[in-house]
Amino acid sequence: MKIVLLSGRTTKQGVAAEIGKTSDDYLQNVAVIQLNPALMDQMGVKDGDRIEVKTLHGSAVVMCHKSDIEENMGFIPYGPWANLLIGSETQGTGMPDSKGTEAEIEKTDKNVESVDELLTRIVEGRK
Amino acid sequence: MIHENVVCPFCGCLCDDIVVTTEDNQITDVKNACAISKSKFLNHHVNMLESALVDGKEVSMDEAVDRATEILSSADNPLIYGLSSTECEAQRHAIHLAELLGATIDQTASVCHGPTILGTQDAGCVKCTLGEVKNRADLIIYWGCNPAEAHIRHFRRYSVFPEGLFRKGRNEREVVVVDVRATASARIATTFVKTEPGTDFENISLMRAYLKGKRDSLPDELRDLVEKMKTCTFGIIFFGLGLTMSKGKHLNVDAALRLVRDLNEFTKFSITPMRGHYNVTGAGSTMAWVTGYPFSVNFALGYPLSNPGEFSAVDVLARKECDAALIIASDPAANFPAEAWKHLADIPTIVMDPKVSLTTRIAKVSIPVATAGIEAEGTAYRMDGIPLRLKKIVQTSRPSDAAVLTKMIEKVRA
Repeated sequence: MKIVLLSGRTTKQGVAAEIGKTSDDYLQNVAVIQLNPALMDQMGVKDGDRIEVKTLHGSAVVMCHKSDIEENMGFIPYGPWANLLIGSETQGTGMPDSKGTEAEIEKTDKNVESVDELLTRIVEGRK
Repeated sequence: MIHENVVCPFCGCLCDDIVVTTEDNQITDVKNACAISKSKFLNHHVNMLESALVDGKEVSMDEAVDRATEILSSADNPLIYGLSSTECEAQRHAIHLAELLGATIDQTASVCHGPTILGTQDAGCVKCTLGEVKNRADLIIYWGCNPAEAHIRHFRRYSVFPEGLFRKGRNEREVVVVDVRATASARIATTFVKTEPGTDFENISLMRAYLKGKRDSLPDELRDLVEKMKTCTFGIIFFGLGLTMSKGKHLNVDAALRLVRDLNEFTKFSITPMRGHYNVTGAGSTMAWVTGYPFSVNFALGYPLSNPGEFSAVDVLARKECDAALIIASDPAANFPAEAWKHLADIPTIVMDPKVSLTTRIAKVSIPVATAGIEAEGTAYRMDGIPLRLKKIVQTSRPSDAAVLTKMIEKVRA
């Protein structure tokens, strides 16, 4: 399923980040994607199921949450999972395209990576 | 002990009415704060960096600072990045260190409101304080931002709900939210205008054309909005990363700033960016008054040059141009595209932070510092450019960012 990917702040993300980015609270509140319930029905997924999000720049597995967002959109809070999906091109501004990236989403059985697993994958993968 | 009128070191609202209770040097209660502020005060000691580390091994503070200075001094093109979650004195020392090292220095605005700075350099900005908004504004527009989640007390303290001199409450103000999705903020709006992603430049340009008499192609909702803007007594646009991070970036902001300038032909209108980190406005101000440029500055030639896209941190890292990095009060491994931050794992990276972060996980040197605004005092700038004094309410043996940077400067000069 194709969506336009948005990212931004949420209160839960802010609260959890202040507890610590390696905490379970942070994982539970940031490794998530908010989707429209109608889109979730079409995909056959329910609240809490895992979704793999892919863009030109990478992929991330996150949990899906119901939201009143538009059907063609998905929202992932700012954080390391959203940043797996965003490119580093800034068009000479310094600012990457953090909002409005096209993404493909599908249901998955893969696990949501912890912060340490994600760091290890990126750090090992660069070699 | 009860500490009154404490300034919150979380977001650009810089709420200065927080009441913090401490017992035995521990924060036990926080009043007037939003959920995130409360979490910051009450959890400031959780997940702390317990000691200085070099290559994952515990070392003394002096050893860590020595090693950090050696790394930075021997690098050809070091990068200094962060600054927005610390106070202005530390920012000033970081710039001094960058000058001595011939380094590139950038602050977190480059991945939030950097495009706002570029737009402002081009178009200028009709500004006012949040106090003027509270006292006078009868039309409040939030465009591409979601204060209900990110600047939680903004409505209550500065815009929608407070009792001002000439506006006594919610019913004397009209509130409009413009966004691509119906956010929590849209629920408190009188009017919610939904736009398509990536259409801000087009929409704002059509609104400007309408003001200049070209009235054919503006959608009804935007026409109604322009009419409200023209006929209000005092209007304000608060805008967020919806404009700066989506297609168009600085051009979106440029258009919005020009729209506000045009509106002043009809009435009084201002515009203010919703700055995220509590002292990102201060980081821009400090860099501007010290170097002449607010972000993305390079000292390789011995004098400051600025060029976003060339000296901005994401670009420097993505092109692998730096051979060492000093990260101050920031977490690029959490906040940058993975394509960019992974270079930090290839080079010796030094992190100064009170807490364990994703970047400390990949750093060669980690230096635990006092949390500015809780364990160290200093100055921070509110989103409207008003400087406020951060308080020290908890004693700590950890040095402040400013103290560590002063030591580094002494060692580099020695």
